Amino acid sequence: MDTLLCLLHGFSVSLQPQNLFYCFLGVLMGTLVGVLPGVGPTATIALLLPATLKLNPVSAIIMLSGICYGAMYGGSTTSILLNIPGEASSVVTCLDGYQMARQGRGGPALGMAAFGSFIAGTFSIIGLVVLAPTLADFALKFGPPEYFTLMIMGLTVVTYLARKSMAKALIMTAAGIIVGCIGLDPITSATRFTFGENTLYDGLGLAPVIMGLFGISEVLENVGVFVKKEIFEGKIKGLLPNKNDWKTCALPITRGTLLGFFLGILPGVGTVVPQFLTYTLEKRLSRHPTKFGTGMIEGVASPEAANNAAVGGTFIPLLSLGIPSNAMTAMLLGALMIFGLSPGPLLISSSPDLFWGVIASMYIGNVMLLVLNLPLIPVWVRVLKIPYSYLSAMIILFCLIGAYSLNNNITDVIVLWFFGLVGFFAKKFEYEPAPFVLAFVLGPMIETALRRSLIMSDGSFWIFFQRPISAVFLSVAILALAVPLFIKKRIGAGLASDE
Amino acid sequence: MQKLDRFSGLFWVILSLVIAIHSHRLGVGSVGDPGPGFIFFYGALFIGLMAMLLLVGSLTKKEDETGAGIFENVHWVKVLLPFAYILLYALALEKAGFMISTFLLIFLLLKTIEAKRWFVATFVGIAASLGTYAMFELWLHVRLPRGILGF
Repeated sequence: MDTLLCLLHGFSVSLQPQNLFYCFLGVLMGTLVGVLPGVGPTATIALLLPATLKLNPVSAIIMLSGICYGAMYGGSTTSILLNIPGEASSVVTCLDGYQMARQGRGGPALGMAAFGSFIAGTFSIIGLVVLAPTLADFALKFGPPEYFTLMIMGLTVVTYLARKSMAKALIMTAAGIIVGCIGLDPITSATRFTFGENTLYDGLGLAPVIMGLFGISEVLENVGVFVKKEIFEGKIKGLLPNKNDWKTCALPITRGTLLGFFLGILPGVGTVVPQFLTYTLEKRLSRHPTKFGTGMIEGVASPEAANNAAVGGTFIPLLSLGIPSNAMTAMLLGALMIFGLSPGPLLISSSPDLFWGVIASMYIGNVMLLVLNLPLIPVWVRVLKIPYSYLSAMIILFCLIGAYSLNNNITDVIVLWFFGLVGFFAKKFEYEPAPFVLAFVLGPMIETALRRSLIMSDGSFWIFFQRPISAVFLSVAILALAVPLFIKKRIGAGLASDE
Repeated sequence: MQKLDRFSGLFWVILSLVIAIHSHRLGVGSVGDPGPGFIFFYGALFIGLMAMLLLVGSLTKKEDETGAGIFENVHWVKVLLPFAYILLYALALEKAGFMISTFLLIFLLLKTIEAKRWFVATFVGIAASLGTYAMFELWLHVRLPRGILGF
């Protein structure tokens, strides 16, 4: 009953005209960045963060959250029409979606992607309402050892799921922790790796780092490669799937939703892995597995449901524990901290307007996306026809202005440039940026939790094993590191070879 | 990829040594009383260890062709020049001002990325600098640098 009342309160907050407007703006921008290859929701949130500082925190987080799930809807459009995923979480949709478009069934593919996303999004919001407060109550038992081991578990899961080398992912994770700790020591105030620059006393800004790694480097990677994109030019008709399509997709959507949601909750998993796992599952369960990749509508419905459900799942550790599970939620965590909010178990009680308002706005946003997405498809197709030179120049410009406007400081722009370079070459050498970003955000929290734990235990590391919850987290982390030594094929590496 | 792994492995080994030395100077402290350099030192050691594994792996594995073409299918001019423009933009922004720096940046990007005609690049450069000025300075009240010419 309490939960229902809180949810109604959330709707009263999110249905205020200004919050409705920002929710709409967020989902529209999210869809746009989802449609456009080269810039994703993480870089977009980083880009818009300086502009949202003028807003009240609830409106700002509503808008930024809208970008997250809006991008999931938008990513499927380019996958189906262009055979190029707009987002990493829509890679798998290319396999069958584009084939459906070539067979004249682009409409039902787009329609089923939208409906599947809506159903999954709705379910994940219900899950969020039920689980987040429960997890927050449970997390009140957490102390520094539990937080430390939970964050370590999240980082090791991310590295285990790395699609390329795990050693490289571990290097990026450790590098992220180190870079995240640059600045003043929290206990002694000693300067650490600031190179005499007092602008670095507070550390490197999250927004310039992410915009560099995910914005600048992605854009220039696309610019520098000789790829000719072919937009499917046929007329898109019949956006509503027929009865047979619904019959075929009912169970795949259900499976995709459940798998996506529960996987999304796990720190480190994010929205990319669930789509691969559900696609593989559907292929294995199908009566016609060899037809996957030739235009099977289940191959569109299930991954799209999974990635949208995963978004809701990723919000659970963020809002209830204050632990981000991927780069996107890491950015949202940064936003919450910039607004002076304390993400963690007490967020629900200290900022109920924000918590319940954001959840209610997620449902409203999903409705907006379903209603708007399909009619706006011709608009997105026109946007995709804009020459990439104009888009890339504007994206670069927005990143630069975004970085500068944070503190009116050139240092942030130079940080953006530097991490753009790092991101570009890291990808060439097959180092994934996601573990770095997650570690960068968690680094200072890991250091603080570690030092507090060691103070509590008078320097004994056994504290992490003596406390039961901490021991469970640490065991999972150790398993994630040890299993690849015995099993040749990791899940992450398997996903890379399935592409 | 083995060749690239050797190069990157060596890079990380050297970097980890540099970080470890500097963090030692900060003061590593002890396990019971970690110092400011604690997490940097042990983080650097971990990176060094992983990098050594990568290096050894790249030396012992059979050379394969995967990733060999990574640097071949890249139009380097279109990548490196924009990086240079971005750095120059950062250095010139506060001196030259937002409008001039932005116009030059967009102009140069369009000429480099897709060799747009002078007229088109000029027009888009002016439109972009005016449009973003209106959006950020006038609508969002973000203070943009004026530069020596006052705008």
